[in-house]
Amino acid sequence: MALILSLAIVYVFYPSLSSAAALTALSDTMSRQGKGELSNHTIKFTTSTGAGDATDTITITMPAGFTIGSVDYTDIDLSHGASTGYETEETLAGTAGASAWGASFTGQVLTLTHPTNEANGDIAASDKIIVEIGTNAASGNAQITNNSSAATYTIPIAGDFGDTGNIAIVIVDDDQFTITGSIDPTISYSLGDTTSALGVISTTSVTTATPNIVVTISTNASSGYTVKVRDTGSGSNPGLFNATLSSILGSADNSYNNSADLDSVAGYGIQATSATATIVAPYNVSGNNVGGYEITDQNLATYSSTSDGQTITITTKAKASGSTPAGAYTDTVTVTVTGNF
Amino acid sequence: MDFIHRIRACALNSIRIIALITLTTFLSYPQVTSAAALTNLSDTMSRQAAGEESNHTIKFTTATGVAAGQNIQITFPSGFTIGSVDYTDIDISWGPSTGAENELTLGASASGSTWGASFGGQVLTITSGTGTISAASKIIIEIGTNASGGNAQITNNSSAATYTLSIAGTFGDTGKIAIVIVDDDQVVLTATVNPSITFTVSAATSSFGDLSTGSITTAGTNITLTIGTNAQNGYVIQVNDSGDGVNPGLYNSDASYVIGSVDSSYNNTGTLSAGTEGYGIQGSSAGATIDARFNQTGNDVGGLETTPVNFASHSSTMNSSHTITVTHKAAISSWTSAGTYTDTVTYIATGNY
Repeated sequence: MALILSLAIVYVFYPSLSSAAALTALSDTMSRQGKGELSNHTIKFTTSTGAGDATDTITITMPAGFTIGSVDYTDIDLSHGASTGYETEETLAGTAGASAWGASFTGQVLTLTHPTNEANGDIAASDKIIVEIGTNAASGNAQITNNSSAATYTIPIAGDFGDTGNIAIVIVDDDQFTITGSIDPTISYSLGDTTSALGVISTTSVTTATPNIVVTISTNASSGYTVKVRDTGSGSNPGLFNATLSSILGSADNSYNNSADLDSVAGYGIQATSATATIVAPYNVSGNNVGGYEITDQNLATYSSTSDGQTITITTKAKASGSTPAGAYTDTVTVTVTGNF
Repeated sequence: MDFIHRIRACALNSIRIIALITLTTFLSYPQVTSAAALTNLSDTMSRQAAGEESNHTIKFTTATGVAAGQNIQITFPSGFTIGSVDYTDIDISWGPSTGAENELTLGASASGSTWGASFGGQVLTITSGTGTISAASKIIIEIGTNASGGNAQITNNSSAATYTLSIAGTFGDTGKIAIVIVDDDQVVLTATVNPSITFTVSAATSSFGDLSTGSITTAGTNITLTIGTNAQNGYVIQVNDSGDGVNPGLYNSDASYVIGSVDSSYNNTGTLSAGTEGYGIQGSSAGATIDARFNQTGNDVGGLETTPVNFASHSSTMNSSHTITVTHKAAISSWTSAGTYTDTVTYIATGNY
């Protein structure tokens, strides 16, 4: 009879407890696993019991040798939910408040403490719980440093909420490998045509050669390329030359100035355009203005980065004077392209 | 006790020898900085067409520099013919800013401050004797006729493609430069200047008025001929007159009488005098050459012919139009038939292309 009474008293007065259980679906995903490296931790587990009391705590004990450093609640996110674990994001503080979970490290132990107002912040039974520690937390800027020795370590999870579990993590000597490679320098260019004809040069209007010459350039030179031009002229002076007559229509004019307005004077020269390359003076002109050739290389265009099929269009113009001897004239223009690697 | 002293002395000597070897090694070992990638590499060529001879201006920046006794090796792609290129066709300079600050003295092999520069197959080896190039220097290597005194060039590969020059050597830095060889690196421009000539006669008539036996008469209007042509050999202006159809001169058709040019004997030149029949012209010009017959002054004149004779000419191209002034003079005698005399003078300009 006394035994029955005692059992009844125990049954009536013993606090209502749900059963403590083993945590399930535990994992800790780290951002780095090399020894001594700073790492984020994303710790996941499912609690069958939940945490709904004001006194409930969840403790996560980082293994000895892992340096917590300055990690505090600002470097921690706590969420839980029935499906993904991300459904409910809890507000954290250094210590538990009416509606905020406390989150603080003491030594190696991170203690998550239920809000003081029991009506707030409950984690339901069977919820998935996600604890993010490090820069993966919303405002995190500090990380835990891995143990300096390669080995397998255990993170126990416990606390007043009752459930318990362990997660193994591994620290290795090397968690990274380095890829090396090289790309050989390349360059190519082509001329759209190798002949261009001015036809009969007028003494009263400016004549344009056909076709225009298109230079197409590709190079992986990191500093781009330089295009230069020069002509043969008479061998000593630039221009359209009639060897039989030893007569030259000078470039850009008969005084061999660097540029000329062929509306005003007789002469011969080029203009250049490009959608991408920088055309260098005196060739960056339009209308009937032209830049003069020289018999030594002159910069025509430059580009300061890699290029794939960039084009430069060269337009040739000429005008004769009444005293320009009649006859056939030719000039040979050499184009060189240098990659600046 | 002596034995202990000998052991101690032997040990001290050993320590001294080891220290001396260590110090000697430390002092004599070349100062080496870490090898690095060359930067700012380029090779500017004078020709990029397949099979053409070309100069090369190779530029790069060395992070490491070159110590005494070290070398730089530039390997040209196979198929590029080095030919007779040697150190006399090579210039090398270096410096912190442009790379042209310090010009190296080169020889076939290194000796003292003279650097060696020689090709072995495709590899140009530039070897220091005692000279050095500072770290972080720009280096410029000119190969071909662009080098002072250079008279030989490397011949491009006969196939159009992209090729790679490799730079290495015991100086430690390495790099590569791509160069492109193309089928055509030149454009031939052609043009034609058509022949042109212009010629004007300033007036269609000129009058002597009344001729006098007492004086030599000059026609009232000198004729100005203006000619321009782009004929490379200039021009010729010829003149002839109608005369009486047979002989040149001022003709009176009513009297069937001609005042002969230049005189009644139709000489080519003559000096007119009052009271003696004669008629002819003079020419003058700043640009043209007046034919000797008509290059007269005063009362000397050249005689016209009924067939064209050269009056003025120019033998080369012109920079501007030429003008020629024609002066007509005549004289009569007391026996010259009265009446009206006329003559038609024709000028013909021909360009000599």
